[in-house]
Amino acid sequence: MAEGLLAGDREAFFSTIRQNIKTPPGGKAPRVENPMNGLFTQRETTVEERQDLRERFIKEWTTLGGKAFSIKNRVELAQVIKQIIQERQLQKAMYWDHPELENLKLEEIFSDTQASVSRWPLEKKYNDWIGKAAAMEAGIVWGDIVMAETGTLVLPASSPGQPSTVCVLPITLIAIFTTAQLVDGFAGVVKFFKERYGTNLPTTTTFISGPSRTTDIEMVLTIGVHGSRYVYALILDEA
Amino acid sequence: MHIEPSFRKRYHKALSDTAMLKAVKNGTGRLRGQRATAIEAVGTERWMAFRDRAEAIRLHVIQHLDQYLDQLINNVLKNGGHVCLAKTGEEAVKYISDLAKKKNAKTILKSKSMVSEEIHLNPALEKQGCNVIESDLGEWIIQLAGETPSHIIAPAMHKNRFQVADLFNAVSEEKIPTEIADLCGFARKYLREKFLGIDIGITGCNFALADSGAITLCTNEGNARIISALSPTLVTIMGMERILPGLEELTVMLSLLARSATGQKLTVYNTLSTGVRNEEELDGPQEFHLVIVDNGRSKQLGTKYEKILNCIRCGSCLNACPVYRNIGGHAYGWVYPGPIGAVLSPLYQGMDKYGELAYATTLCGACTFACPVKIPLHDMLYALRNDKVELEKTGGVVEDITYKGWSATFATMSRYRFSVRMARRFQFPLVKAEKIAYGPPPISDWLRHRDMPALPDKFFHEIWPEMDNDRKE
Repeated sequence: MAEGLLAGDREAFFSTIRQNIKTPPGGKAPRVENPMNGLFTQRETTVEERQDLRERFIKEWTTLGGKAFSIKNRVELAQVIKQIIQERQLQKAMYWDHPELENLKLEEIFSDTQASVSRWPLEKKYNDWIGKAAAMEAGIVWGDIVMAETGTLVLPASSPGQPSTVCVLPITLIAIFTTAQLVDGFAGVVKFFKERYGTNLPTTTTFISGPSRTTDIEMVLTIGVHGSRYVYALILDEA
Repeated sequence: MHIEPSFRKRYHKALSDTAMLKAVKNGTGRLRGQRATAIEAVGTERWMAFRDRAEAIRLHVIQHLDQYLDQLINNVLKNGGHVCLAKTGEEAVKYISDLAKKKNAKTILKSKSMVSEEIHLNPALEKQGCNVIESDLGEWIIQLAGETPSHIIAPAMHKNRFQVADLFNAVSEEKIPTEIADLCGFARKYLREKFLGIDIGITGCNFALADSGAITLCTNEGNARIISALSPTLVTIMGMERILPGLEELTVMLSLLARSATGQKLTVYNTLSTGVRNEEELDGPQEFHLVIVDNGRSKQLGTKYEKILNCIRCGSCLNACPVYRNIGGHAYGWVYPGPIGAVLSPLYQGMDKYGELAYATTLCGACTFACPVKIPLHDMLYALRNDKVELEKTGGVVEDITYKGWSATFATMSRYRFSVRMARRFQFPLVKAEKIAYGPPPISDWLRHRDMPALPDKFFHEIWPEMDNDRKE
């Protein structure tokens, strides 16, 4: 990728900063060595512990206004998806081009329902896909990593097939993941990011904790002002 | 919008707006309660540990701001983004206006950015024919009303549903009911159409990560997320102090920000974006511009006000402040209200314009206690009062003599007792119904709002020996 351009006088901009920064008596504040230490749960979890994390996630997610389902097998998955299609009267859905979603054969599940499902990309050109994406009533994504303590989906756009448009534009969001994706909180996410990306982060990562909300009118909580109004978490058994 | 230059006139106007005062008391009360519940859930000890850690992180960054800015700029450029270094608000506005002209931009969607309010970006873009639309619901409401935000995180806190319905009806073809769900439904539909025709998106920046060049945007509504996904050209405006070293520090700040602002564990949408999309990607900006704004910030480095740069704009000091809760945000005059505004406004805009805001405080310290990054706001307000007096020499000879006399009188017991006896003897022309009812300015001003009891027939130190004798007997 071509490097960007710098506008403005770098030297002039920095000169006041460098001139004004003082070293206080006792020296400048050092960098905090382990910023997360003692504040977040840091542990490796077993399969059994992740069952508990699933319960924790479900509690948080439903408190936030989402719906969550524990799913044992593909038959149950199909039933739940069909239930959601019915509940939301879905006609059109799109899903991430993600190997885990590919394995679930979503198109087969949708084939005997009223709704159609399309894999991203819908079209190649912006002017072609934007209208189609806006007409989609549901977006289906794979939760690469999920925080139980806050009820948060962490969705890095790890490949071009996993854009944030799918998770934020439609009124309904369906996130599918297994219990193996569950971590306690931020410590697990940082570990995952360090191992997978280092400081070379994906172009976007979206953390989603429940449905879109606002209290901008009279401080009354209202759901779904811009992003998803209905959010579903489908949690598969990792076995 | 015309801003009345005198703070006294502004707060008198605010005090007469009962609907606004009711809304602000309700709003701040709720936010305070939600924050308290969130802290209780975390546990006070752990919460204090979070605050200590956050303060240490921010102090380190501010004292090494040149290094982190340098690192951030290099990484944004490496990621393919463009960077504008703006010493002043005017430079930032010119850069963005020129970009809008170059792109022939008609529709500009914005997500919440206090810096853009600070530099008056919208009027400049509108002047050259752009349709600038605020996408945060609260910001859009006040944009339609032609007002400035009255709260950092709840900009339309002072409006009720009926006022909002009137504003929406002015842009709607159909009449909108006054139910809040209907109002939000209309905003979704109306703004969604605008999102789909976006030419340039403009966002603020909650935190920029120096080690990756990533920008973090936090919104509950998801508007910033949609803007950064759909804008062909994306502009992010940031105050130059909004930097963190990396992802680990960010997790501490995000945990504090949401709890302090609204009592949530996390904001609904937290987006980390490195700017320009990859060649194979279809959504995300093709062009990314990061505008880093100084506008008075660098002058605070190395001063007794340096810690003001630690601020993460959570708004919890506003909700804690008894003055803000009783006058609302517009009385503060500039874009930042409450205790943080009372410090930032004179520092960034000048003591001559906003120095009197140092008196918009009871010095109770509630703001300092509420601040998640431990900025000593009430100490700063006190220091600003001193600076104002020093700068303007407002006291003059009379005040100087008065305080010297006061100091000399109260320095010894005998002088103190003599003076209060004299005051008791000669107070009678000023007394009415056992209260001091009259006096020369500034005492007359003070008496207009408060009761001052007249000096009693016997002082406590005169009664005490008698009481003591009774007790012994």
